[in-house]
Amino acid sequence: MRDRILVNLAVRNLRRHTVRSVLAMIGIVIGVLAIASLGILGASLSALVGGLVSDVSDTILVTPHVAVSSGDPFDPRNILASRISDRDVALIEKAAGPNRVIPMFRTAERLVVGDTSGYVTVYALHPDDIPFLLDAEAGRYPASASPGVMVGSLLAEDLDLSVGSRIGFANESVRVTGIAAERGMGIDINPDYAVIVTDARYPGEDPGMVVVKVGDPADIGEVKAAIDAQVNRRKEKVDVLDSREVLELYYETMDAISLFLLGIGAVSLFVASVSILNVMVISVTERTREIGLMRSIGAERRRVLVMFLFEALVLGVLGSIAGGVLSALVGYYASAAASGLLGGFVAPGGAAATGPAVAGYIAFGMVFGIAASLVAGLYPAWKAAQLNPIEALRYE
Amino acid sequence: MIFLSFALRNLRRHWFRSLLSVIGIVVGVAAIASLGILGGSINLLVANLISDVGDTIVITPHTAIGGTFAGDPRTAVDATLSSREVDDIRRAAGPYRAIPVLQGADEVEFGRGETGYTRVIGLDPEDIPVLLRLEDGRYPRQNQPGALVGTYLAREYGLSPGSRITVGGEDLRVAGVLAERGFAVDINPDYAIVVPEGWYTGHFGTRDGYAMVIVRVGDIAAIDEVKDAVDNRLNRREDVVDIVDSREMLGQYQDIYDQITVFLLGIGGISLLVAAVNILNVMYIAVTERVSEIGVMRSIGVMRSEVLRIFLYEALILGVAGSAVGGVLSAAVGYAASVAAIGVFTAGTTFGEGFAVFNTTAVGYIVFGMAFGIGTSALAGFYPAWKAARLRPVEAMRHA
Repeated sequence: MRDRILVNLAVRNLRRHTVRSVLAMIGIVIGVLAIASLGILGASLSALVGGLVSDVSDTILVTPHVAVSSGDPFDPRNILASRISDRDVALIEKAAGPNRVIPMFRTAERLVVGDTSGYVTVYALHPDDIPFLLDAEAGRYPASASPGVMVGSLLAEDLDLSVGSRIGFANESVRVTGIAAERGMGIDINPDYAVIVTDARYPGEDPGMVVVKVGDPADIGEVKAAIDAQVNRRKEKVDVLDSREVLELYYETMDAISLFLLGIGAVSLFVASVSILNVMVISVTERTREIGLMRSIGAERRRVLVMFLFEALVLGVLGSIAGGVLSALVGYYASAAASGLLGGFVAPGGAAATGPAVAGYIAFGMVFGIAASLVAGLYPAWKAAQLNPIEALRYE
Repeated sequence: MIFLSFALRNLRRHWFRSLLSVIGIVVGVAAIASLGILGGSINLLVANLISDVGDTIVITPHTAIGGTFAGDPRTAVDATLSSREVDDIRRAAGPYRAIPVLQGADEVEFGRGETGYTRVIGLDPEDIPVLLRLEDGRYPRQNQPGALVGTYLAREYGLSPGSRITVGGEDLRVAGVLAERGFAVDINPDYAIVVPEGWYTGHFGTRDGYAMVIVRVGDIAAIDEVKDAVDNRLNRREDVVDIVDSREMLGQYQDIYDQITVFLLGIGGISLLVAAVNILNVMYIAVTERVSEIGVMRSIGVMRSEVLRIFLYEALILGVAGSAVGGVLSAAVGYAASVAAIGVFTAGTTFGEGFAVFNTTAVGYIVFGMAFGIGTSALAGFYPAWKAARLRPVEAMRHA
């Protein structure tokens, strides 16, 4: 095990210059810390947005054609009190074939629960359609015969409602028959803060949107084209959207932000590796005579190279370990702060990156830190190995 | 002066390590300044999207949940206020102008068979000039129906004053095109058409569904007073209305974007910190190497403060050179990053169309980054310089 000697030599050399070794290591610690915690932060932001947005990939949304929209599906300016006629709904049903077509009417009603009162969003659907769109967390779906309503999970949580609670709804007293499971914002329906009722409550109202549940996601393009061809034959009457198309933009944005954060972390690590390069170059210059001596008593070029690489590696490994441990803490706090900032008003739960993702970013940061140190050590080590033994011995 | 040339000579003697230290500072300064510029650009973009409608109070039907944050999706509820409530608000607002807003949507035909649903806003003709500015044309009058069209709508369908449109089957003449207004606490007419109240009620047949009441308070000091008056009058027994003022909303957005800028500056600072550690290291090594040289200098009469100055100059030269290059680089990097970020944030939307990033604050961030770079270099050089100055001449000379 001749390499053992080289490791020992490398460690001894680093120890001899404690201050500069520690300072070089601090650079790596901070660099790894930056890259790993910014990675964790990016992952937490993605998780937060992922939690807010529900990807209903088997869903096509048909809405009345809007003249001009801002392009952002969640921009409140795009929500219009517009309707689709019964004739067009029939055309959509024809175009959708065997896939389920769910017309939906959206309005607002006054809700009274104890001391709290105010308007909430209401979705009116045919009782048979509700189970296709929503999962019940507790209780039953509203039935056409009874006047009961279903409430969104976050509304229920905020107002302390449970199955069987009595609430004042549109100047009537009704029972909560069920609570819809939390779902996040979807392009079709946002039930978390809403009340869901049967369409028997609003007879004669045309739906504001139609949701088509496509059994096989591969058919989405085909069904969209069929609806477009059927309804928009003579003039542009409806807009046809699918979830993937809409959410792609969001995912792209989140990916770009994560990449950007990682990139900034990498900049710090780059500066840290320049610092290591610097220390190693100085160390090679200082030890020119020592290298000459080693070479003249028979140490091969390769050995000199390996010894200096070990020095860089030891700095990198120790710095990365310390940085990895620290980044677990810092990443957690940064994520908590970010979700506090963004999630305060949109998601009460708050979301964080999962354990494996966090571990992945820490490992990534550490590997990156070690690799950066090795790369930085390569040139000085090569330079040391290339020294001519005689000249090196004579070096003053 | 001689000390400065000493410092320069020393740095030149070890040009490679000096270069590497400068690179660290360059990257650090470039990071902090470009991220600052990026933050500034994002702020600018948001400020551009949000229209500061001045001292405005917006009164909407009370929602069961959700705070007063203007972007909160929970408050996007299609509820309305009755004319009795509007009258109450008018009385509570006293001398200030209360503007009830009718809001609906209908299918609009723009000619050549192009149709689409459009937001229709109904306002008292007297209130329109108070609230909205024109890009082209005239304001409509109560007895002379005409529509004002939002700027994006006009652009999309090539509308101008005199164009004819059909709203829900009823013909209407375009009287004017509205100036771009952006996101505001009250109404967002950029994608909408605005019609006189009389035409609106005649067309939709509704009389009692006001989406909101806008109160224009000329005097900032009176805002809280008016809010309290409305609150006392309407929310006496139970909460009927939510009251938001424009300052509050702008403040909320400002807070968020200020925090983002601070965060970006902070992570830029990380790189600079690493660069400073690097300088500290290099200077420390330089002092150790030159112990006997320092001893000689001290023994021929150079004072402590002068030794300190030589080493501080070395650190400062590294800092100044690095900061100068970093500052120049960050102008380019910051611009590119801003363009890219705004591209990402506004992808697929009409937000920020024709928006130019960069303004004078960018120069401020560059200066800030450079000052920070020079400052940290001087700070990092201080300990080694102080250590060098403290060496005892005789012992230092003996040092091998």
